[in-house]
Amino acid sequence: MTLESGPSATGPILEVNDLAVSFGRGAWPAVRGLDFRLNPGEVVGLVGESGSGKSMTAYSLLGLLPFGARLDRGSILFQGEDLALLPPKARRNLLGRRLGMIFQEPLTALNPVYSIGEQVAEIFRIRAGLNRKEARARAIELLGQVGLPRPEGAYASYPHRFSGGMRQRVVIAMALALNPDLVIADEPTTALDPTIAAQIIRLIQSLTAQRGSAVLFITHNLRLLIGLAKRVLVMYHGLIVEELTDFQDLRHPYSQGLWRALPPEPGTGADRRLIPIPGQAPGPGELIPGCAFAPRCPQAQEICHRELPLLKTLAPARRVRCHLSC
Amino acid sequence: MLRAQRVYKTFRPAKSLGQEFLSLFRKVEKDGVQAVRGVDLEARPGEILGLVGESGSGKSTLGRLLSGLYVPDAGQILMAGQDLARFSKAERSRFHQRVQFMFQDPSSALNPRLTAQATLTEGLIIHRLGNRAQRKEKVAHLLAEVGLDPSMATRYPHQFSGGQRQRLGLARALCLDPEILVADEPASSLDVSIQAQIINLLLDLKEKRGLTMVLISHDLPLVAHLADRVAVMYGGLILEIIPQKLLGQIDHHPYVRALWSSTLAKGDYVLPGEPPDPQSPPPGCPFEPRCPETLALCQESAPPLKANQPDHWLACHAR
Repeated sequence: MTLESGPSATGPILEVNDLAVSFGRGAWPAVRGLDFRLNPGEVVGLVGESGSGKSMTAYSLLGLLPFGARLDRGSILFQGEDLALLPPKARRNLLGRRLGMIFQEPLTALNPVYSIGEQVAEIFRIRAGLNRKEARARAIELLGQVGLPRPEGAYASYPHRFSGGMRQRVVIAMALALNPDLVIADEPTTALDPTIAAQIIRLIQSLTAQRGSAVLFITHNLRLLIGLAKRVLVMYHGLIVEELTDFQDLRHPYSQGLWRALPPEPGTGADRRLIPIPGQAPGPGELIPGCAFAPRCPQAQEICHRELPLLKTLAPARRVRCHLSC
Repeated sequence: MLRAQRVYKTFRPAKSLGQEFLSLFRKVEKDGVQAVRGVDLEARPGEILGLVGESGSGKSTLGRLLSGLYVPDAGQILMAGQDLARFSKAERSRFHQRVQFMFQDPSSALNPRLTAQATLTEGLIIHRLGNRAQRKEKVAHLLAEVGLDPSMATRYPHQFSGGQRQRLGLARALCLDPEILVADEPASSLDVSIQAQIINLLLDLKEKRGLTMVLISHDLPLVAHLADRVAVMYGGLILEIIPQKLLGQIDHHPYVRALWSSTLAKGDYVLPGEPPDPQSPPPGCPFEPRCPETLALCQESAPPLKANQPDHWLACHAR
């Protein structure tokens, strides 16, 4: 079979060192030096608001940076191989086979002029070398697995006939078709209604667990990750500010602020007013001396405006970038 | 105060020229999208009434019906007991002063070619309020009220951030000093930290101006936290109206229970299926195809909205 995945490593499946991405040849840094690793089969959350660089991180891992964006420095070790040094063709060959991507907006991720089935079968034909008949059979089987009713009928339908939830199921089918070792899910439920979002999260969870794929789950909603991710990275202004495993123990003032800004659980008798983070997030081009969060931080000291705090390791899988909360 | 009484609204696709011609000789009917299918709801003075539903549930259409932006196909919109459809032109103009609508997406709701100043004075000019100097003063006051710097009056919408644009949208809704504000997803396009700022601003202004507010959102936890009463819509109908105190305390409609568990990340129950097609909704209860506790009756007729406890209304055959 040609469907086997890459070498089974015992170490981390993905190791990112000092990754930096910018627009306009360094003029607008989007990602400013990330270090993190993912272990095989692990589900890790990546949280940040718009402009924090979380999506650019995903695109740089896949080698799909948009026009005008550039990888400035850093290494992306995927199963021991540095993707940043790989020629584009070799890199493209990994996509779909060992690296899967679930996009935010399923409508733009699907091609409107090909049927759903052709798009799924294409992966089996091109990436796995199956013939048309085999590919079709595999695609129909997979469409059934992701919960599309009447998969034969769905095979011949076009994306516009499907609801947002059903389209996202198709995108998931394409991402998981060849049992990739790592799946990157970029806000897969943001465009969906709550009851449908719950279905999609369940589906991603069960299918990736079956296949033993690691998942990098990117979202702006910290609460969504409870029960889903064992480990969470919080990004702000292009940097990781906190890595955590326990949602009850948030140390960085930004993570704390994000958590507190959500409406509290009902029945807690809390005040109606919410607790916002003052000010607004800096744009990618803005240069902020010291800690980027300091201008909005309620606890900021003089040192915070002067010196960028280091991402200190407190324990395994527990890092915080703050002068004060260590 | 502001009340919808048995209102219906169906959107029909425009007929093509050929169909237009044929319709001279015989009836040509196209299936319409039945957005609101007979809804009773009243906003009481001074309250925050939450209107929750998923996309296609009819919540935005109902909000627009309430604020007079759409005309109902059947049923009435009553303002202080008076039918909006029978208003004279002057009365209608007065109604629009008293009831204002705040749009969901500020980047498409604001005219990109008007400055903040022009955006905010448009309503005042139409209603012939104040002279030039007074209007200018009013704009400065409004901007300050929503937390923007009055010097921003000369800026265009694209020069504001998302949160600031939403503040500008709010200032526009308030420029005629309305009594009722219908806010459609006021914070859903914003990041969490900014969302809380806008919600607090809405709460402050509601307090200060004594507004009645209809808050439309898909976010049940948010609305449950803010509203005095929450009306939950599904498939063009209201399934339940719940006073805030009773939320989570009583035996809810099966849909409300599913929505509750799916949004609070408890994950104990995931609702199967998808919402009904608004072009051909099921003949009975709209939730029947997904409901875990259906009866034979549910397929035949939509359950009426009945008072269950004081102030608690429920539309379910099984409850």
